[in-house]
Amino acid sequence: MYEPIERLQAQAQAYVSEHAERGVPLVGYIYGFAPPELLRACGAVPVRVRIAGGYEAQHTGQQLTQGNTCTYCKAIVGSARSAPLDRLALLVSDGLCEALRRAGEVWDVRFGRAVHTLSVPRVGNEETLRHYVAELGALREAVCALTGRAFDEVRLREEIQRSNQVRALLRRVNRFRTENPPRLTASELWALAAAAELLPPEQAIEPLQCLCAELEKRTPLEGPRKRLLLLGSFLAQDDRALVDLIEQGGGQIVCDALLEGQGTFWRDVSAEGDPLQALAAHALEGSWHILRPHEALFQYLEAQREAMKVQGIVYKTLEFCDPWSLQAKRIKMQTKAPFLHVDGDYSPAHRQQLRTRVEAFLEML
Amino acid sequence: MSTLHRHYDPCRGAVPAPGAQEGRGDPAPTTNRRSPVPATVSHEEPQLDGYRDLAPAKVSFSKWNELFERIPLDAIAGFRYYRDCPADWSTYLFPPCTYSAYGARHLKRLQFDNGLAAWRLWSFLLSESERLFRARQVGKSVVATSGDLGVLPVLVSGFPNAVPFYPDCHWATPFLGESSVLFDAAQRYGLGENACFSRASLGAAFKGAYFPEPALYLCASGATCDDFHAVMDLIQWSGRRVHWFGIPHCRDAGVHAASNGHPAHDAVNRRYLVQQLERAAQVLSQALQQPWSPTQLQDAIARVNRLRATVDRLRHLTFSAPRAPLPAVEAYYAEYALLHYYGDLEECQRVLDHLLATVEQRVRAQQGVLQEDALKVVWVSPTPDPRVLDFWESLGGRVVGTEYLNRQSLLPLRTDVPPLEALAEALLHGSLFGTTRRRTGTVLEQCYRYGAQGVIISSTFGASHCAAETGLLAYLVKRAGLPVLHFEVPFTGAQLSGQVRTRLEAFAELLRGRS
Repeated sequence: MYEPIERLQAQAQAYVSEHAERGVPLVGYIYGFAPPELLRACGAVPVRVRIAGGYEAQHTGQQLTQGNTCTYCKAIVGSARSAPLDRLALLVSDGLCEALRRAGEVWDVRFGRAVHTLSVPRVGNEETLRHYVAELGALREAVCALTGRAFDEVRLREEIQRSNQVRALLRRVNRFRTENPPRLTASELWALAAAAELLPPEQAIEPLQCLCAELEKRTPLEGPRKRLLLLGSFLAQDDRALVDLIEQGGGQIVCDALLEGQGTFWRDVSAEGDPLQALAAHALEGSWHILRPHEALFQYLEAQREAMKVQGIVYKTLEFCDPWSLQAKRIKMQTKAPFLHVDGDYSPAHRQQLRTRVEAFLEML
Repeated sequence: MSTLHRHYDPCRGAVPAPGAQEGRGDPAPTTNRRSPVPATVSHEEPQLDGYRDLAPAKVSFSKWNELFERIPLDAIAGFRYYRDCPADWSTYLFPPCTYSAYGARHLKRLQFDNGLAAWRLWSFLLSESERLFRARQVGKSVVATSGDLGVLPVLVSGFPNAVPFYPDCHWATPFLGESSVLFDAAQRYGLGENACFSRASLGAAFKGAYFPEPALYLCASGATCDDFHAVMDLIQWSGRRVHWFGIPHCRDAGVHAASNGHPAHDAVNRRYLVQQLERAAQVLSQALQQPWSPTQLQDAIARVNRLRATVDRLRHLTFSAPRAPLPAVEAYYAEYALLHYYGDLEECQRVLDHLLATVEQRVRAQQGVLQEDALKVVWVSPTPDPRVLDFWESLGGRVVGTEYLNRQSLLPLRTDVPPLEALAEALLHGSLFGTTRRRTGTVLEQCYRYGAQGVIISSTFGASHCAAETGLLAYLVKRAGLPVLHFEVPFTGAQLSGQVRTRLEAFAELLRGRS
């Protein structure tokens, strides 16, 4: 890992540990429908549930759910009692799909853990926005009850402004992965974004500015590389193996359609008007994956393909992740691009098979 | 109307039938009590002279074909759907062999209630596809609803001449026809075995032979089935007109986190649902080229409530009588009539009134189709293969409560609030849209009320909600001290899965050992 990113990761981990020890509630969230700015403004430390050690967690979770439940949700269930999720004071479960809704409930019923299930709308219209604003209002009250702090709207506005600065810096960093050959890999970018979102924005801004300067001087990676777009199920810690295989094979993920990837910094939250409304609008605008009708997803993919000169699409789905895996064929047929569909769980057993498929795909390109 | 003037009373006792033939048990006392079928319906019912049901029993396919000969021909001509249409083609009461020859091969493997009302129900549901095509022929508008199980059809019924139906229900067609042709069609679009059996509806939509092209697909999205969501994505992609209808997740009151049961939550969800329903009504109005009227919707609610009350009474009698007056399969299909009334709300009411009258008569006469000491269970989740229910009864079991994901279609709709609010409230109580804890509460409440000895959960491989929810539901039932059996119903064509048989047999033994 690139040393400045490692430094930022260490800083972020230290920040979270220190606050957990001081008794500041850690609030877990998944896709970002619970905006970290809001959680911070309510006095909590937001921690995105990316799951480390997914294979073991998946197996533990399977005993409490069913074999044919989504792999990521099994891993969430299986991680409830192990670090780092055992430190969460509250898990906000994005009610995006049936599996996520029930995974949160398993936490509640089986482990007595506090869970707040967000009702995330999947239909894009005006009522949806109003409903989601109300949902964020309910979340705000839940988190304030947990932290014992009164909600501070001024602080929320500040959080939004500073988070926008972090997003702008991440977009700047993102440019280095879109070069050919790139100066930053996608896995480095995601590691950086993950670390940056753990830190409060005021602590992330300066390291990111320094990183931008350092990247200007960084020697480009070996190239040229095959330019790929990645989309699909939630990208957890253990899915990074796929990204590593792509990068080792001479590919570069120059853009993605992941809420937990590019989606975290792609656009700013409006600083105007009601901040809850602005957060809700921001979350929904970036949710072309889930909103119906979802022509916006295909428009986004088309725009990204053209702008980023994408040569192929890697579609990664987790076993039994219905919202994504059942769309695979349609996306392949509709995008009409060279397409690699990888479906699997967190098992390392298929790693070499996967390597062969990735290499063959890159050769074909 | 056919020229039927002879008297038929579905409540009369069984025909004395000597001999030990199937379905011909001891004669029951004859009674002269009139049918409780309301006058608004009964006067339209065909009159049968001299026809009486045999002593209640479960009979085979071939036996029902024999029994069918006892039904007078002019009476058969009187059982008609779309009675507002003058045509003579709308009879639906045919013998099992006719439906089997037209593709319902599965009928040959089932045992049936030997009452006329029960076979009328079967005939009515088996003729649904034909009825939907007929609807188009006589100028009615067919609207596909999906994902909400029982509320959107009420909205559609508020438009005159609109006929709602659930393409989702074609999940059972491959089982009924013992053919994978619809699954194969879905597979071509990427919906394979990791998707719920409802993927068959994609094949049905694309083949065009199972239901006519609807004027609109009204599809629930949000806190509902992810598999059918994927089906509807593909249907929309094919160029068909789809309107998405958002259903929010409903948190429980007073559960763990401070936010759960937030007092504003229900009000927020209700408001959102009313707005979604208003939008859906507008879209329907455009698609059907008819104005939307709250008064007409209120009328539809009144008619649907009447049907719901009939089914409620039917369920209660079926579950509470000392001897089961109706087999589980027929009770299941009666309950599922509340989803979309099998394409004709008025005739559906007559069919269920007839069935209720039969059940009431049996209860009064202390007759039933199963033994009195049958093992009582509450059955959770609907099954696409009716044989599992039938097989459970063949093992000496009985179903005394159900949670077929249809709570929203069972509860009476409120009439003291504006009609869209009444529909919104029904959705707030839906089985699928709330927590597993709440759904388990419904299961346990029935277990206690009807004295169930255990719970059977039949889930569907690939169905997102089954995979996600069943483990938790089984855990909560066990925690309440009741034995629970959970299995997945596979598609096995002509044979019922050996694994399913073994597990049901073992569960029956377990319950017998405990009783």
